[in-house]
Amino acid sequence: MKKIIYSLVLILSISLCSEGILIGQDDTTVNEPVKIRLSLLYQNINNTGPRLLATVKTKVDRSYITLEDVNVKFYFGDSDESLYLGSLKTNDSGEALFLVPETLRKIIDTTAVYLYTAAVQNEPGIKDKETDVEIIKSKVDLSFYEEDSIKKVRYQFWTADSLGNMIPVEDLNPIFYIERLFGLLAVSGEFATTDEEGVCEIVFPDNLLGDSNGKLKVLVKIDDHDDYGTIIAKAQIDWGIPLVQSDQSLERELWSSGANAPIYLVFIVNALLGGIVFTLIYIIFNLYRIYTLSHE
Amino acid sequence: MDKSDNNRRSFIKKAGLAGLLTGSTWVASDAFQSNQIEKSGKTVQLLSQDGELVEVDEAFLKPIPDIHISPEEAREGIEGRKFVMVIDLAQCKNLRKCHDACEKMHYLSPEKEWLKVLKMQDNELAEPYWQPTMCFHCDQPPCVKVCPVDATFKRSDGIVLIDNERCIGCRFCMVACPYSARTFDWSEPQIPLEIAEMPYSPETSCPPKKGTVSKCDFCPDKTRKGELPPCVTACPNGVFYFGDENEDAVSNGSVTVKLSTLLADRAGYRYMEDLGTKPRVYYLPPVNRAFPFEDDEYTRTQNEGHDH
Amino acid sequence: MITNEHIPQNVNTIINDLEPRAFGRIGKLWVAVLVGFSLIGLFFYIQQVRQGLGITAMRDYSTWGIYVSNFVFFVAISLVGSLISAILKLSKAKWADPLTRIAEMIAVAAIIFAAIVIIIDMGRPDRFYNVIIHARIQSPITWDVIVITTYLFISLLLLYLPLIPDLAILRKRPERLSKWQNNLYGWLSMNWKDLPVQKNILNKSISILAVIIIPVAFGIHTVTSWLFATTFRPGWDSTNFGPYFVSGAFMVGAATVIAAMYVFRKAYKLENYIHLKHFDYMGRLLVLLSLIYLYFNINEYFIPAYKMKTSEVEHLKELFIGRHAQLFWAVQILGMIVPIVVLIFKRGRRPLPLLVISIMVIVGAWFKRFLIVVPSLAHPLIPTNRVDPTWLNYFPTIPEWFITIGTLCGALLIITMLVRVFPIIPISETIEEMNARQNKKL
Repeated sequence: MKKIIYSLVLILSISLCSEGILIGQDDTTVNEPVKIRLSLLYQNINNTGPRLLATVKTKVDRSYITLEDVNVKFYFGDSDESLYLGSLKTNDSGEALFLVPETLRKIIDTTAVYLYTAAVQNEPGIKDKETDVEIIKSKVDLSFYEEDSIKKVRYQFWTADSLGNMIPVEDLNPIFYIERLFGLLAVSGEFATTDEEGVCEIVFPDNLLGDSNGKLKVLVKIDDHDDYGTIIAKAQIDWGIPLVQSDQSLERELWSSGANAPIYLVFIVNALLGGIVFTLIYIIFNLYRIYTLSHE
Repeated sequence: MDKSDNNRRSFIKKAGLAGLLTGSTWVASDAFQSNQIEKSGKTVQLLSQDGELVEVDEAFLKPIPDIHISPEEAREGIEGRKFVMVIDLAQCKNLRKCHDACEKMHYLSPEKEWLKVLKMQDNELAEPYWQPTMCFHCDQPPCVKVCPVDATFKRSDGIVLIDNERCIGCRFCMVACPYSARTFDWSEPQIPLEIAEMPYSPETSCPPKKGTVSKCDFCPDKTRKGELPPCVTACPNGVFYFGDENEDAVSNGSVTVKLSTLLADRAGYRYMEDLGTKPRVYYLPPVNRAFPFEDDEYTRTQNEGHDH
Repeated sequence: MITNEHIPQNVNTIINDLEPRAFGRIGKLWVAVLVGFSLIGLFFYIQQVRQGLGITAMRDYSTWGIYVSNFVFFVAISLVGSLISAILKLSKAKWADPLTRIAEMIAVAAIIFAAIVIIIDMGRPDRFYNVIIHARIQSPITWDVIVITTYLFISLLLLYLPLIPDLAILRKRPERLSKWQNNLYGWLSMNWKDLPVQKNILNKSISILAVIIIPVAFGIHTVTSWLFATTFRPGWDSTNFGPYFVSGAFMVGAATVIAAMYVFRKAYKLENYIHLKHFDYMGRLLVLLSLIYLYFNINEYFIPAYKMKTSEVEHLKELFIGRHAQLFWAVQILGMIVPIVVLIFKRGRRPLPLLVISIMVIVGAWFKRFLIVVPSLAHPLIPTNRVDPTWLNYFPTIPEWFITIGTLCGALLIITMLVRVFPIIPISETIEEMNARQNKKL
């Protein structure tokens, strides 16, 4: 297990090639340790296990900039009495996303409330800093069904009570999204709320473009909740309008490539050129006749 | 041969795991040339998401260099995409952050303005407004029509690019473009040495080449990675929306909206629609403006009365 | 009309009068000046290749400058070949026969330099081969490359074919030829025996060439006009541009032939071959062509000025009353109106006034192309309130002027060299005409 963590650290500690974008490396930092802001977010996607996202920032000229290549240590519990999970270096957006390995999850899973701590310790030029997040264990379910030809998405949320039993949660406001290339497109319109069974249903819009098979990636998110953290449920469904692609680059148009020139144009140009070349060949042939006549 | 092929594939797979683990861009360095990499002899263990342990030589764990797209590869668009931009004129107050971000991204010298912020006035009584303008990546591009050597081309993802290694510098496209979006390297471009030594790609438009035409490229090197072009992210007012028409969604970095709804609700239009060029850049009219119009020093002093 | 013109009555006189002659003192000086300016042009062009087009005044917006207008000028001049040796020939205007050689020589020189000038304008002349290996048939530039190459070939053939009998005649008197001339003529005349079959084939071939050169000539200048008319720019966005260019080309071409025939007549004492009649007829032709050009000018300027479309307004204002007004009115009045008025009168068509008018037409035509190319680009369709004003006020730099002068001198040099090597007036045709005249008398 140690080996795994070691390897994780190793992989991530190989520095990124970033020419000149390394931020916050003023000369002053050498003498005085930099004060940093360390934030820690808890995420869980499709109940697959905890993901810890630490972000390291520092204040420069009244605005925060992210710090790259800072080693962040992750603990389960607080730093006094805790289980060391591993450490990671921040990437070029100042983030370190730590996936708690399955082997450790079994230990963690025994309680209903988790405390995670992220710490920056003994980093050269950086003041030590730690931050924690307390999370209540939760579970989500996402399903799709069709009722009277109306497509619906059903979402359900449970949390653990003090005894460790999973109970539904009321009055949560999950947001329903479709994954798009540059961001999440909200589809739930007005605020959807979970009922006493922890269930929240929305009517799925029928005018969304999917991929060529009509597939859409649906994502339901509770963002940075005080008790549960960021809880995401994801699934794929073929309820989109299948994309009919017309490859414009293959059309024979005036703005297409030379190889795809309009037929009429190819024909006209070649016919004209051919006619003239033919005539010129005839003229040259005549010159040859003149030549042979002189040499008979 | 078979064996080495196998090796390569497994390295890609393993390296991919590292990427999954960290969420950053790590992959076995130049996986296709893995034969040439000197192995360190040291192996490290990696954990896959399904909890499986794999072993990889340390030497393969280098950050991914940005994928180099050769001029030939750049003629194909990014699969399944159709990029589109929407510019919200009601939000633009001529901060020119987009312009600066573009200049930085492409190492442009100040006279090469791929992104211009124009002062527009529709008629004498109308309040002027600021309009960011760049290459519109028209669907029926007049510039591509006139190119004699296929140096500028329309891709399947809607982007109009230039192959600066083919361009003969006749500048017909610059004359044909009604939006004056194209610039020319009249002299040897002044760029940092490391940029000049980069392998050329039409997708980065770098390094620029003397005697050839260049213009806004919609940053396919960024969008290929799922990142927004810098002009979009640099704008603090969220003026620029960028996205994929095939997904009917555009994003300005903070919100993602439905393209069709946005254009319908806000009466989106295209600049000089009557020319029939079918731009891929839409404008939202400057109504209910966020800011009053403020002239800047430059337009006040220069070219008085040159507005059309 | 009092003239010192005689009709030559003897074959030997004709050959003696018309055989190519070595340069005299003035001739050598003339060649030296042309070579000098061409070399200066070449020197500046090498600078341009090294430093890029940055040494010109062209910038974004003012994307095309005098290189392109000079190119249009050369293409225009080259059209005269088809006018004199095709249109007039086919319409059986016999009087123009002595002028065909001059017209073809001018056409060949001009079309060669049209090609050179457009390469000079390229940002990457080293990649010229792309135009062939990556040719894109949708582009008017590709059409232009095709049609200019074709026109060059046809013009060369149309210059060469009628030369064959002439060279054979000259070769009969080897004692009067230097060795290189003898060899060249021998090689080019292919041992022409002046057989009736040969003559028949030759005349037929010339007729075919004369027919096909007409559409190709219209083609080169129409396609050249399309380099402008296929865009959205004010002043260019016109359906009239093809005929406008072609008519202007014929006008300047005719003026060039007039100037050339005046010079050759004086320099080579050709009064017995180029008569006052020729000047008179060419003068008439020039008036006709100028009137046609005037008609297209009215169309090109009056109609947009009447409509006052937003994009056209500033362009027209700049031409009529703005920055380019002086040049514009000078070109329109001195290069078109005055020639029409003067040449209507018989006295105006005498050699000297006709020469002066022709030079006015040629100079006017050069600047006219400048006025067609440059001001349009200063008025893009987008607002220019952020554009560096110097980019919109294009005025050529010294290298541009010298390169352009170099190309003009280069073209003159080609004409001069052709005149040195080949007879200016077709010898065999002149002899034939004389025989025909004498037969009639008998």
